[in-house]
Parts: sequence; structure tokens; C-alpha cells
Amino acid sequence: MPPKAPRIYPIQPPPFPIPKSFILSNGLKVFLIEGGSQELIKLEIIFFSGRPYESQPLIGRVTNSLLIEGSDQITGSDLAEKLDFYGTSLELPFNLDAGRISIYLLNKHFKEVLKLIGKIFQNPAFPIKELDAYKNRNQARLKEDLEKIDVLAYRSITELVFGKEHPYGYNSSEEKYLKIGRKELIEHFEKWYKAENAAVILSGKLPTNTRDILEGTLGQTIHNGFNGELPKIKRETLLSYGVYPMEMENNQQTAIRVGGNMFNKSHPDYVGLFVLTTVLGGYFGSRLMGSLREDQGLTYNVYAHLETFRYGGFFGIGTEVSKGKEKEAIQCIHQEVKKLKEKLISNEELKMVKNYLSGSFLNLLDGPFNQASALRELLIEDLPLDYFEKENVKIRSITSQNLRDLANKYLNLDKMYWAIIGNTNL
Amino acid sequence: MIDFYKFSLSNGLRVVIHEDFSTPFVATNILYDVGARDESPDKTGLAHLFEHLMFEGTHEVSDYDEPIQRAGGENNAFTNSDTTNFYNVLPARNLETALWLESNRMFDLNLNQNSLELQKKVVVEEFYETCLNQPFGDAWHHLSALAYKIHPYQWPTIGRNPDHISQFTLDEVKKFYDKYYYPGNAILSICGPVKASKAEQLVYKWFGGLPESKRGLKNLPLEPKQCAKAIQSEYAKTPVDAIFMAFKVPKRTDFQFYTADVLSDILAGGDSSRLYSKLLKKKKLFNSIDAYVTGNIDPGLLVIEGRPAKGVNLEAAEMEIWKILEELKVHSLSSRELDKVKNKISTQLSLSELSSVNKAINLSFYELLGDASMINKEYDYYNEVTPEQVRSCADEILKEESCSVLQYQSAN
Repeated sequence: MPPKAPRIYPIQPPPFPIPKSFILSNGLKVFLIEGGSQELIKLEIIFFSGRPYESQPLIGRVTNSLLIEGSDQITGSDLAEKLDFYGTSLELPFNLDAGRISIYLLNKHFKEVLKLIGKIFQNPAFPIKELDAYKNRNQARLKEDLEKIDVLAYRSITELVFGKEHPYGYNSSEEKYLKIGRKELIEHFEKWYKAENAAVILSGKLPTNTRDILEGTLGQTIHNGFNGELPKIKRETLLSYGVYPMEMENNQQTAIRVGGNMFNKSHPDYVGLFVLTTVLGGYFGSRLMGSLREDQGLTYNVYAHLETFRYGGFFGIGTEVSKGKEKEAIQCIHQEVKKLKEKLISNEELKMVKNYLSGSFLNLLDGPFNQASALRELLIEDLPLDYFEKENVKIRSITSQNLRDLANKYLNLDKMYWAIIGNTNL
Repeated sequence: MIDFYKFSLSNGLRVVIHEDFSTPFVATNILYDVGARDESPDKTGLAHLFEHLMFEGTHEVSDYDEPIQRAGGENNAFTNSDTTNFYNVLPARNLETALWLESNRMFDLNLNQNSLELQKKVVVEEFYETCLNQPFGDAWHHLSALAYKIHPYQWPTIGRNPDHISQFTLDEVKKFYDKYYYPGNAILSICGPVKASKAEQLVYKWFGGLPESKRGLKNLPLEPKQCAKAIQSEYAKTPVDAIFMAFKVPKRTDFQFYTADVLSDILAGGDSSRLYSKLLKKKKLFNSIDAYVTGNIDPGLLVIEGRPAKGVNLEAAEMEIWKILEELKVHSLSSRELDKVKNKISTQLSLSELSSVNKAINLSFYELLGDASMINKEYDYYNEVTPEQVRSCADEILKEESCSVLQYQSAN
């Protein structure tokens, strides 16, 4: 006889640690998260220079991507060779609110790498030739992306939810790339890439003289003098709710995406709605996965999510199904949302979701690099450092009644947008 | 350095345990020594379909994911040409839940017509979503069929086509389970804040009672040496042009594999690499360019893939790549260039040791290759590579007659 099923223990995540922080002489704020068993450091420099701060579409992304093409102190190819030589892996991620420089390095090269990174900020060259090549590469990539139904559906839904010209709503296009010139890149850089408008997160096994090294590099080379300007986001008149189809003939599948305007993590209902969204489609055992995939076999993947930004957020549902199966899928989505509005979630299911979320919370704490990513999210969304702590406590106290109320308050699929890409003959 | 403790049960299950008290999570991985290379040419995609069926519940546990989620963890799986892997990550105190579930589905899987029909549909949707509906999503289908004529690496893990998947019967699936899913064909690794003695005791508790089974010998055909360049062109199917070039590399346990991997990094590992800096940055002939080795157990491929820039035709693009390859055959690298690649590999190896799941997956894979301690020797193997070895490796591998070229020509 095999042994009996083991007992499952409840999880009690420890508190989220508050990182050490200090401000360099140029006004640059630094956070340190020490720890880890590898000889690694992750350096992340965050500039609040994303879409809400743009004078024209795409300028934020292009500026950030071209930061490493050389400056007064180093050429682009020299910089690339040296960063490769020290074994670093550098990325220039751009999310809607911030441009970043993100780099993993072995701690024995910390000082040398910081010196190199510091040089980036001494009048970046933004060479015309590199700008043109970048535009060409991105236009080609865009062409490829526009053949993907999931990409088309995402583009369509953000435009519908926020508006065609809204920072979180607009989409890249060949035309928008063409309008970007070198002069505008320099202007964007000089306005927003300032010490007081940035934050540094260093995580991993840090040397004892970290502060001195930072002061001698980034503390000197990132200019200060930020004028403190806040972005102004214009409200747009939106299209009416409903279905927005687009025919794509050469595909076997149709992408379905639902989207509705919501709020960000600072809203009092955020945590409840986040738990509700998880129940609906936020993990493998979710209602939508159970219905569309595990009962009906309509799809490989279906999800619901709450996407949040510094100045807003939205709720979405997405899936891809074989052509001809769209109606069934849409019906399932409606049914699952309806159930959440009418019936209370059982204690057992709620307990499972809470445990699952406690596990994810524990994951945020697992090692210095995960903690650094969590901290980055807080800084970008302008949240207090004890945010996750409070979120975790709030999740534990949520009841099925709360969730049913929230479903009725927010999950009104008739007051959302539906992008249907593929077969439109529904 | 990853310290580990390994042992085998009398039923043949191999076990590797790595204590790591720096994380609150424990990760487990079970590797089954079966992949797409064990399929027959007219019935492909079964190993991967079967991976899906492993989540369909057992006679004891009807919803397989539920207990893991209740334990605050996550599970997933992946299949490739060589192996099938199932992993769990969960708060360490709940390790036993993962072992219970894994042992349960190793002998007591509830295979039935309903779940088979359902997962066939799900996998066909996966086929469409990840391969057929993506620009260049069928590249691997074409390239592997071009590069391999005899060896089962000639089809991708997802299968040759959706019809193969739709046709599997319950009987075939049951036979597959009996043939490959038993302790002697599996390697279990556990990484996390658990004492090895405690983990060992739990492994005995959950797997010790499982029956022994004879391990069948693999009899995979050897791919004969390629003697002529193979070329295939796809017209008007993609929005932009692309070129894929594939060369055979030695098997995973051959020392030359490491040299070939270094070679691929010299070509495209980082912004200052040869192909990237010369063809993309300097000459601006490509919009993207990459090179990598597949890392298969049997002889795999070194693949170069690029999207030529506007106005650069595919022949010219290929010629420019050949020029870079030829240089590597003639001139040895400077020690700085080789050190650069080694430094990058060193960082990558450290990064790969950050996650417990990654370590668990790697430990079981190295144990399958013959010795889990390879995980600690990788850096030295790379470090021993010399400039002359890279040159002679380029000379041996990057030959025109052993090259397979796949071109995509867009309509415009």
C-alpha cells in the first residue's frame, strides 16, 4: 500500500525587507539589496522617462535604446567590446513608464563596469547613422509583428481602452518612427535623464566600498538640475464599448481579447480585484483555464490579468482558439464571469488561491535579484516601500463576499472592449 | 560549486540532492529518459502529448495541480528531442506534497479516452499558436528535416504535423506510458533548504515501493555524414526575408561541443561579436543576426539565423556570413577575444545557478549524460578551449558541403 497523502502546511512569508538607501551628491537615489550565493551583482538604473513624459510618440523608447551608441568619452563599439570583455550582459529595457539600463556583472569587475556605465551619460552621441539603422530594424520587426494575431489583438485593445493618442494606448508605426530626429532624442535625454529623476537599484554580493564607487562614477556623470516637471496626460474621447473585429485570412486561429479601463495598485479596490482576476484567469488552476482548456479543449492558453502603470491600469482577458470556435469561447468567458457575480467562491478554492498567492509573494523575496525586481515595480509605480507587506495582509483578509461584490462592481463585460482578430464572421 | 549527494533505489530510480539554505523554496525535477528522438517517423509528437497527459490526474488525485497550488507552489514540464522533464517549486516545508504527486503519477496515471481526446485538442491548438500561426514558426520543421535524413532529430518535438497528434489512440498512449515511465528510466533531483538525509528518507518513503522495470536499450540510428549542401527556399509566406544556416556539431559529451559553443559565441554572443558587430552594426546588412548550438545529446546543430536588411538579397546575405566564417578558419583568435567569450560564459553559468529549478533540471540532465558532477566542470571545459582549437573547429564544422540552408523570401 502506498503511504497516505502528506499534510500540506500553510505558508507564512517573512516581511518584505526594507532596502538600505542613500542619495549621491548629484541627487541620485540609490537602493542596496545585499545577499545571494553567487559572485554576481545586478545594477539597474531607472529613469522616469517613459511614455507619459514624451514630447512625441516613441521618443522615450528610441532614446533609451540608443544610449549605448557612444558619448563624449567613449565610442559605441569600444563600449560594446569592453562591456562584453567584462562578461556583462546589458539590456536596455523600456516599459511604458520608465527607460532602464539593466546589467548583470561579476562582482570582481564592479568598479571597471561602473566606470564604463558612467561614461554613457557624458553627452550621448545619438549618431544619425545609428538612429537610421535602429529605425530600419524596428520597422522590419514591426512588419513581422503585424502578422501575429496576439500582437494585433494587444495593439487593438490598448488603443480602445486608453485612446489612440494616449501614452498607454498608442501603437508604434512606421510613420511614428520616421518622425523621430536626433535633435528630439537629445532634448528628451536632457530633460528627463537627470539624477533627481532617476533611481539606482544594486543587488547581489556588493563590495564594501560600493557607495564610494557609485559616488565616483554615476554620482559625477549623471547630470542634475531636473526641473521637477510632471507629465500631463490628456484624456481622450473613446469609442463606444463593444466588439472590434479584424479579418486575418492566413491564420488557423482567432485571437480574442477583452479590455476595460481600471486603476493602478494605489486604488483601495486593487488588491481585491487582483485576487478576483487570479481566480478568473491568473494561474493554471483558474476558472477560465478550467473551462476553456481543461473542459472544452478550445485553447492552449487563456488568461485574465490586471496591468498597472504609474498613472492607470486595465483589466484584460485573452486567448487564441481555432477558427469556428470563437462563439463557444466567448460564451465560456461570459459564463465564468457571470458565475463570479452570482455565486460565492467556495472556501476551499479561496484558500487555494490565497496559498498560491502567498507562494508568489514568497517568490518575490527569494534572493536579492527577485527583491530588486519587486522594488523596481514599487519605484516605477510610485508606491510605498511597505506596499507588498500590506498587500499580503489584505489578501489574507479577503472574503468570498468581497470578491462577489467586486465582480459586480468591476467585471461588466458589456462595458468593455472586445478585439477579435482572425475570423470575424461570428 | 554545487555540492550534491546522489544515490539509487533498488528499483533503479536515480536521485541527486543539493542542499541550498539560501532560499525558502525547494525545487524538484524528474527527468524521464524519453523525448521526440524515441518516436517513430510516422507517429511524431507523442512524447510531448504524453507530457500533457501526465497532468490529467491519477486514480488517487483527480486534479493534479490543485494540491501544489494549495501548497503555495507551481509546477510545469517541458519536452525536447532527448528528454521529458516535470518540475515543482514550492515552499520547502511542503516538499513531500511534490514527492507524493510525482510518485503517484509515475505508476498510477489515469489514462482514459476523455482526457486523451481533450489534450489532443489542446496540443493541436498549441501547434497552431506556437508554430503554424507565427511568422517563421515552421522554421524548425524545415531546418531539422533538411539537416537530418536518418536520425529522429529530423522532426521537432511538437511533431511533424497536427494530424500525427490527432491520430494517437488510447492503446498507443498506454504502451508509451508502460515503456518509458518507471523508476529505472527516471532521474529525480531535489534542490533547496532540506537536509540531504531528510530528503533521502522522503524519497525512500514515496518511491521505494514502486516496482522495478527493465530498461530497454535505445537503438537510435546514426546520422551519416552530410556530403552536399542542402538548400530549401520558402516563398511569399513571411513578411520579411530570413536565412537560417545549420552545421552539425559533436554530441553533448564530446569535448569539441564546448569548442563549438565558444565558436557560436564568437560569432554572435554580444554586441561586439563578429557577426553582430561587422554585419549588423558596421555594414548594416542585417536587421537581426544570431548564432547558437542546440545542445542535443546526439550530434546537434550550430545554427546561424539572420534577417537581412531592406535591399540586401538572400544570396548576398549568405555570402557575407561565409566571409566571416572563412576568416575564423584561417586566423586564430586573439587571446583577448577568446577571454571575452569565456568571461561572458562565466557570467552566464553563474546566472544559471541563481534559480533552484534550473539547478535541479541541470543536475538531472548531467546525471543522464553520465555524471551530475559535470555541472561543476562546465566552466573548466570552456576555459580549456584554445584559439587554435576554435580555428580548427571552425575549419572542421563550418564546411559548405555540410551546411543546410533555409531561405524565406517574402512576397515584396
